[in-house]
Amino acid sequence: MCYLSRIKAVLGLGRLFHQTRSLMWFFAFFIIVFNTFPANTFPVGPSPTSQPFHLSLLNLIPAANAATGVNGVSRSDWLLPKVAPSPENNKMDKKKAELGKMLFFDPRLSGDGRTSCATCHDPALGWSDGLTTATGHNGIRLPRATLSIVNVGFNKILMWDGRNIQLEEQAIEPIFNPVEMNNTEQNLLKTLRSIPGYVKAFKEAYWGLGVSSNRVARSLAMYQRQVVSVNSPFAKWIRGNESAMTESQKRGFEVFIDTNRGNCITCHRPPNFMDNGFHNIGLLSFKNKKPDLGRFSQKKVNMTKGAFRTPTLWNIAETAPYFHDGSAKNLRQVLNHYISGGKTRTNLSPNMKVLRLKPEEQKDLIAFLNALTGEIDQKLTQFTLPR
Amino acid sequence: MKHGIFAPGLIAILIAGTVFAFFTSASANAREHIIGQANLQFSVPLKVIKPGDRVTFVNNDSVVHNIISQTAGLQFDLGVFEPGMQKSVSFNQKNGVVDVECTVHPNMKLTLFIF
Repeated sequence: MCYLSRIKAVLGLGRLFHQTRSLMWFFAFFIIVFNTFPANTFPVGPSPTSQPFHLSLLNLIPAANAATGVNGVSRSDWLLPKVAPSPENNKMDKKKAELGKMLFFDPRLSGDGRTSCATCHDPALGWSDGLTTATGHNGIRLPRATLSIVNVGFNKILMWDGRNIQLEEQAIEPIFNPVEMNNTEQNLLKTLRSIPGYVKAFKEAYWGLGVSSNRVARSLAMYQRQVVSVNSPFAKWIRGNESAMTESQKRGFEVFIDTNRGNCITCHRPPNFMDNGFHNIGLLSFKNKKPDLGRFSQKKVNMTKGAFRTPTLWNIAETAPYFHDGSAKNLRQVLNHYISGGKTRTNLSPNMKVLRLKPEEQKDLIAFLNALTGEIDQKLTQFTLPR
Repeated sequence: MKHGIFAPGLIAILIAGTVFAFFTSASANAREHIIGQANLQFSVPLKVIKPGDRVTFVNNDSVVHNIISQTAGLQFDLGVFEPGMQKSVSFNQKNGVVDVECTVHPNMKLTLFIF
């Protein structure tokens, strides 16, 4: 006490403290309260301690204005141009695309001269191969089904696991993949430079420049951007031709976009019937001892385990079998899988749910999927390989 | 001397309060930023926030998302993010650039600048 009196005496604050004691208590109280609970920052849930910096992952609170379905889908949302958009560094050019067509169908791009891009992306098989999973170099069976390249130019992420973003980088990858076309860059360039027709075509397309793997990639990508489905019954219908689809197909479209019935639109969204997203749809093959983890190979997050990119549905009736493992032989089996809500529950996408579709609705839905089959420009398959 | 009983306590509280206020001044100014998700996009592609601010992600979309950051030292994973839910993250580090994305829809990207 004596010590305190000395301090007060030195500071000359004894009287002040005495007169304003109540006020000080008041201020002290507010200093503490306001610094402990700043506005809008009242803690709701526990903070994880394992994080390298402070995170408050708050409890889940329903948002008042959450959307509950894909409402307001109009026909125009599904309209697509006849050619897919090109990046700034590879604008559409007729000569480059023509060169790309020759390259696409030419087996000389492969290491053994027997496999072309069209071997797996066969126009007669819906620009896919009709196989459960693809066949690679020397007949080796690859783990995943071949994706059709129909409308591939509209996709923002490519391959089942999304390992490519640009079509240019994707187009060149199989040529150098040892289990696919098994070529080397050196051998590819040597081969193409030995063919006068290619040397000439490259010079004409690329302002006098010669063969390069970069230009091979650019031309292949440009060619593939032209592979677009047009004039399907659905495409005609969305442009106003009411008789282009049957009544069953129209009903099937309603089932397709209804999240309480088909729920297809959750992932197969307009305009390209895909969401550039990755989902584990609960296929039986995910129960295997060493299942294909899909997107997880590119993005190590729990939710990506067994997730694969949504494929487009344009011309889907032509590209059986279905799913990344080719496990569905036809659209009926695809539908049966989705009706089940997924056969493997591990890491199943929350978008998957058991569908309660009446037999008529199932029939209509399949009828609608058949209405997505359009034409591909015939000129895209007419070519003469250079010599 | 009768007031001497209260004075030490009062001084102690004032000092404690001042010290506490000093060290928590950042959180006192903390703000909450609401970032929505709709049509497979964040409501903004980038956002500038201050240390201590909180970002609340609101799923206004019709589909499930999974919002994460894999930026070194700034990682988080908000898990399954159903339509209608909201989840918050507080950023208390001094500065940094945080790349946020949805693992289900990788084209959904957001950059947070903290400084």
